Amino acid sequence: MKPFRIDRRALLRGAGGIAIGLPFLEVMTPLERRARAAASPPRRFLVFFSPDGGIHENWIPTGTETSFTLSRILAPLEAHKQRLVILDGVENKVGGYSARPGDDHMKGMGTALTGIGLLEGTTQGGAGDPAGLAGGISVDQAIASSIGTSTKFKSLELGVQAGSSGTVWGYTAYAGANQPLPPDNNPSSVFTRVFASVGADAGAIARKQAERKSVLDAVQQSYTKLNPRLGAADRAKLDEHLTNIRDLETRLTAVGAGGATCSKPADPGKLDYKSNASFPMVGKLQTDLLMMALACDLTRVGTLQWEQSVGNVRFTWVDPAITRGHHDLSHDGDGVADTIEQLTKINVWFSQQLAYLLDSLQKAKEADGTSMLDNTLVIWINELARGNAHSHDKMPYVLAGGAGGALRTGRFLTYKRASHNDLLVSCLNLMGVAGTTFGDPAFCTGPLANL
Amino acid sequence: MATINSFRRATACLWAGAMLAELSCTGVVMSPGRSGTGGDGGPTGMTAPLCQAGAGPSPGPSYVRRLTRLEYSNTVRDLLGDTSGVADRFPAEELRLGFDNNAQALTVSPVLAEQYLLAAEAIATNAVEANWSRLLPCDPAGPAGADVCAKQFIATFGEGAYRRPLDADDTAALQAAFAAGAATDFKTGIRLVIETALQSPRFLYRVELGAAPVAPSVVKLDDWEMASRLSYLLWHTMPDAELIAAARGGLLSSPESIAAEARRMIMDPRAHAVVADFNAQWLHLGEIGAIEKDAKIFPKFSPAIAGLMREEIDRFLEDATWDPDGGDLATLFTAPYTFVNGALASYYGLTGVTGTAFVKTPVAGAFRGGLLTQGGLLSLLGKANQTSPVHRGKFVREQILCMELPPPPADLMIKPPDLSATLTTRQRFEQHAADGACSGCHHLMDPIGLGFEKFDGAGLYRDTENGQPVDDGGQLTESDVDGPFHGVLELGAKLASSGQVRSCMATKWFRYGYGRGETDADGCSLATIQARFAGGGYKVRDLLSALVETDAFLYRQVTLVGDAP
Repeated sequence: MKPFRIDRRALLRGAGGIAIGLPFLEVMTPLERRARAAASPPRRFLVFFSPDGGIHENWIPTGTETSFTLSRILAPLEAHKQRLVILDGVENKVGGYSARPGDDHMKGMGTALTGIGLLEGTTQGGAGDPAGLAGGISVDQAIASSIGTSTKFKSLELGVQAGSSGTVWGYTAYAGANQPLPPDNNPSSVFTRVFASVGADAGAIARKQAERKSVLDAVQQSYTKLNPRLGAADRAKLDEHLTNIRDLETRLTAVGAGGATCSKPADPGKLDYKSNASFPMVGKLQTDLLMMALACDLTRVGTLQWEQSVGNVRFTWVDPAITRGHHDLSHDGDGVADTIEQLTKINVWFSQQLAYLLDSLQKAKEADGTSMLDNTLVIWINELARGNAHSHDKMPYVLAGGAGGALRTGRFLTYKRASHNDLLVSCLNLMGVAGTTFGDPAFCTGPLANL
Repeated sequence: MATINSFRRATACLWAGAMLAELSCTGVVMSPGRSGTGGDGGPTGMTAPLCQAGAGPSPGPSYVRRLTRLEYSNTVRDLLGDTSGVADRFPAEELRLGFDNNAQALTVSPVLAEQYLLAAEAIATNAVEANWSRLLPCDPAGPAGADVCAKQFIATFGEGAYRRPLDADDTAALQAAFAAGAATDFKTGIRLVIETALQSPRFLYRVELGAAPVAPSVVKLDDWEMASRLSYLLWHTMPDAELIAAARGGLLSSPESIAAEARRMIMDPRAHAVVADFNAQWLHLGEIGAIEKDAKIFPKFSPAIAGLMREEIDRFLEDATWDPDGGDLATLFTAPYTFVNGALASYYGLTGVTGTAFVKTPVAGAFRGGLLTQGGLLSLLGKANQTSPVHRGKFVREQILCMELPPPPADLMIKPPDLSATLTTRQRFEQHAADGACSGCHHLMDPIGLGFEKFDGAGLYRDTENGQPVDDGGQLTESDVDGPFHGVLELGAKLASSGQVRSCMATKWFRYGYGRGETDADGCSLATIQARFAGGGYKVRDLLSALVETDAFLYRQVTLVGDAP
């Protein structure tokens, strides 16, 4: 395998260290900058996904709600301990007990953020009836509909070998039932999409925006004329497309705002983002790009999806003894001590990656002097509780960040089979979105108690 | 044939407990799925009778089809000479029924809408910068004036992009884009026309409204729509000049003229690429290049070997499909040759080939022959450190025989028998067969897969394993070629004579060619394909010809609510 020799810090000036303050002078008028600076910092919501289940005994902290010791898997988060809420005993009930189709990985994945069972479909998993995609909107998108309406991107879905299977295994974010938002696995493509147009002079940006508006107006005209002539199923499909074009047009006028820590990253360039060995490097690049998109207020909602459900990355850099894929390992029984050790190490590694993200958020300062971590809610999710049992009880949920002061952190909470739909309601509420139920109401009782 | 309902019941039994697994797995069925024409485009149990004389055409459902990434790339190449590969950035298609071109699954997400915008901008910029002198059909500085030239460009370029002459609405939208850009300059106006066209439904989708009704709820396609059906089915791209001329001349309205065009098109290398794409999706060839093996167990294997294996199977399939004297299923499953270069020959232990060029090489003396002994496939269907009788058997059941296996029970610990330094794989799997919870379903896979045992997990022939002789006895059950066999060559010969395999190929081509699952209304179309396939001695290239001769291809059903007549 060809080693990567790219210096990440050279690539993303200021993103990793985040201390550089080069505001987006180019994209903001002085008036806009003053207006942004005067407002209180926005709330932000981030999803951090890793697959194939956890190892509960090496994950659960010991101690009480406010006085606890982090476990081996969560130890890398020690520096942010007072910014965490660790949730034990929350169960993905809709994934475990809904009558909808799909195998346990598929159900766990499709319900992870939607809280509603899968659609019927033709994808055959390892068990259960063949299934389609998720049956409803995901909580990050429901949040984005509220807090993401004024930014250039309503949300950004970034992946690290997050799969291209085109099946329910590959997606966490959904705009609605059967409308997955595929994660972009290519840092170069993310850069182009998010940052490439940033940095041109103001006149050029205005001209570009005007051009795009003209083009999209004309494009919409074609759909508006054609769609009524189509059959119902076809018309629904093209109407959805038209909605997405309208959405695109309204975003074109939005510009990045730029807090004190916003700077344009350098183009990561072409790289082999699919090879097994590139996984850690691509993960860092994607984290940095997502961080900078947040710091520049280009978006307020993001997903960082590491692998996909049944992801089979070989974590050779974690331990050379690991020669088998992640999912392959996760099927071994509890008696196979070597495997449990390897899976624990893999989860420790994911914990380190979350710590890197939290470090970056902590170092990034808002216009009012608070840190971005103070104003952000991060949720670490998995599609399974334990891989070999394909279980959905005792899910390894971790919350991090102050959520703009809404979340009391530094706590370890124990629940008795609380439903994860309730946790999704809490996420909505913590982000200032009203609501008492989310997903399938049969599995939801309201916000999670004592959060 | 079992119905969907019995399949559903069988699946439900699995959830009730492992003891019932044995019962449930006796009910393997072909083509289970939903019935009716709506829903997700999935397959249905085929119960419709064959073609009935005097009955009107029965085309089955027909949906607008969004271009796949491959079709988009080919189309902008042929339309504007763009080979920048910009569509590689689009999100991957959702797989349905094993293929990436299912019409119902090809929707447009917010990310894709944005990627279409960025791609259109990049392609249009390239076109007006790099290609300006060849882009325009007229001189904007000429006596007729720039506006007249722009109108000409919109008409000619628009016809190419939309694969039909523009109607008034199309023209008005592109004129509006031109006017907006021309406020800057002429070239900007042209660029915005291209950007608009490349995001319009007539470009991104294959829109069919149909011509005159020929029966209640059934219309013929107009000539332009037929030209696009032919070109995307047989070439994965927009119509060429000959097809456009035929459409303009009204020459694509009879089954005979359509068949004649298809004959011409199937001779073209672009049709070969379509078969290669089908094969890659059908056999999961894309994964071969990325195979990695445990170097302690398979020290000769390497990523370079994996890459050579992919080339080997591509060349083998190309030859086995298009060889004028072969090209039939028997060739595919039994051909006594493969393609290797020096490095791969040395890997396999074949003599007489050196150098980097691939050479057609006889393999009968090396216990090989046919698709199933291809090293790439054998390696793909193996674990990193051992063979996998389960995956090999499952592959034959699902991909070759079109049977769907009930899934393993939920929450069952799924783990192959542990590796052993003394036992053979067959001996290790005996435990698998003795355990009722496993054997209920695994009797459908393992006895086929164990017949492959003289090929190791990295595709090499072996007579012994752990010092013991390898037994490659296998057993086919619940098929139309039941019975014992020894080794992959005998299995290949059995499959080559199987009616079930032939029917499976025809069904898979139906799904791939039409971008949807078969429905109850498609009995006649499937029968047409199968009859044509049989008539030519089961040649894959005849399937291509057959696909343009069915009701499903020649007509369009308009019974869906809201459809224009």
